[in-house]
Order: sequence, then C-alpha cells, then structure tokens
Amino acid sequence: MEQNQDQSLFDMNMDSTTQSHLLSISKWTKFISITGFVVGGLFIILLAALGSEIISKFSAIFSFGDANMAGALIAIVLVVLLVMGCWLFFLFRASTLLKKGVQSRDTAQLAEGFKAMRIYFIFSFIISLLSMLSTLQSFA
Amino acid sequence: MEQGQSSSLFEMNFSQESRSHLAETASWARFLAICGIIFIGLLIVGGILISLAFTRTASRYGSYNNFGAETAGLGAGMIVMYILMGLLYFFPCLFTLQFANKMKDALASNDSLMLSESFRSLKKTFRYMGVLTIIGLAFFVLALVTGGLSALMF
Repeated sequence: MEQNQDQSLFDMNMDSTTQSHLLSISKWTKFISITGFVVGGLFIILLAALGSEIISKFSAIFSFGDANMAGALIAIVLVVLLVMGCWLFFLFRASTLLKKGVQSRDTAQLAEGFKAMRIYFIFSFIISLLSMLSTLQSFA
Repeated sequence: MEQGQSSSLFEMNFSQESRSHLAETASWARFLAICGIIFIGLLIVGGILISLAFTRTASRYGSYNNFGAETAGLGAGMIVMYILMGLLYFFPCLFTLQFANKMKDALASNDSLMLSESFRSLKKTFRYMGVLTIIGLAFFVLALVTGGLSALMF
C-alpha cells in the first residue's frame, strides 16, 4: 500500500472534510445503486412471470400483427435493462472503491473509484442523450 | 489557498492517475449538466406550446360544448406539470455543473479547498438523487398497498 501513496509535485492533499464528502458520496451512491438493482430485479421477475400476457396485450393495443414485432419489443427491453445494469454497476463499483480507498488510505483504490465514476458519468451522458431524443420525438 | 493545503495526519495524497480520471469525469459531468439544462428549457417551451394548443382548441370549441373550460384547465395543468418537472430536474444539473466547474478550477490551481467544495457539490447531487429515490420508493409502496387494499375490498 505504501508505494501507492508516493508523493509528487502534481499530488494534491485531501483533508478530512474532503474525505468525509467522499464517504458521504459513497453512502448515497451505494443506496441508489442497490435500490436500482432491486427495482430492476423485480422488473425482470415481473417480466418473466407475466411476459407473455403483457406481449399479447401490447399486440392487441398496437396491433403488431406478427410475433417479430413482439420479439423486437423484448429485445429493446433487454438492451435497456443491460445498459441500466452496467450504469448501476459502475455506480456501485465507484461507491465501494471510494469507501475502501478512503478507509484504507489507498490511493490506487481511490483512483479506481474515480475511474468507475468517470465511466458512470459517460453512461449517464449517453442515457440522458437517448432519453432526451425520445422525449423530443414524442413532442414532434 | 496556502492554508487549505496544510498537511495533517488525516490528509491523504492524491495521485496523478486520480487527477486524470477526475479531469475527464469533470468534462463528462459538464456535458451532462449542460445537456440537462438545455433539455429543461426545451421541456418547458414544449410544455407551454402544447398547453397553448390545448387552450386554443378550448377557445375554438368552447361555445359548442362544455369541454372548453375543462380543456383550458388541462392546458394550464400541463404548464404547471412541465415547470415542476423542469424544476425537479434542474437542481441535480446545477449541482453537477458546480462539481464540474469547481473540479476543473481545483485541478488547474492545485487548490485543496476548491477540491473539497467540488466534492461537496457532487455529494449534494447524489443526496438529491437519493432523496428522490426514497420519495419514489414511498410512492411505489403506497401504490402497492392501495392497490392491494382495493383488490381485497372489491
């Protein structure tokens, strides 16, 4: 652990206030990600239990006509679930690594935590861009 | 700035790797916040346009039937709903933008106080989202209980 804490001219110090902010960020991000996993899990269980019924109702409402459209709908839902799962995974990873990094004073783990946070923000940007486009399409 | 960088037993060093990850995080966070603020503007403008269309329809057909006042009321309600949605989404965007700007300043000037302020803004973002999650969960549980009770009663 010692070699990770080498100081250079570019290093900055993190005081106890910053560390407490990081621990608080870790706490909230863990809560959000676990809640997301639980809600996503419930959604998957619901989809597995009532999937065929939901698809037949949707087919009747939107008159899909053939099974291919229903299959496309399932594929879209699965892709959305996968993207959301990755998004929440990186939030959870950032939470865990930041907490471990601060508590054990390990700068390598802290750096990994910030890396996970960076990926989380990239996912957030892509997801919000897609949701914005779909909302604007619904306005048009 | 100097006093903010005084060392103590409780301080941790901040590696070059962390700095580069945080610089990139700040850039993406800034994109995200700016996109969010633009989206809020579009949402409110779109909401106003839709509700104006409702009000126009109400004034056109109001004399023929009783739906005029109801449609006008619906239009006004939609404006309020879109503004509330925009307001709800505005604060995390603002906190994220503050995080990004302060982080860029902190990394550029090696300012530990600014770094702390930046993380404080990020904490506010996640706390806000966490509270919204709790409120959402409460509504979800309420809907489940209400649905269950009404299913038992009828």
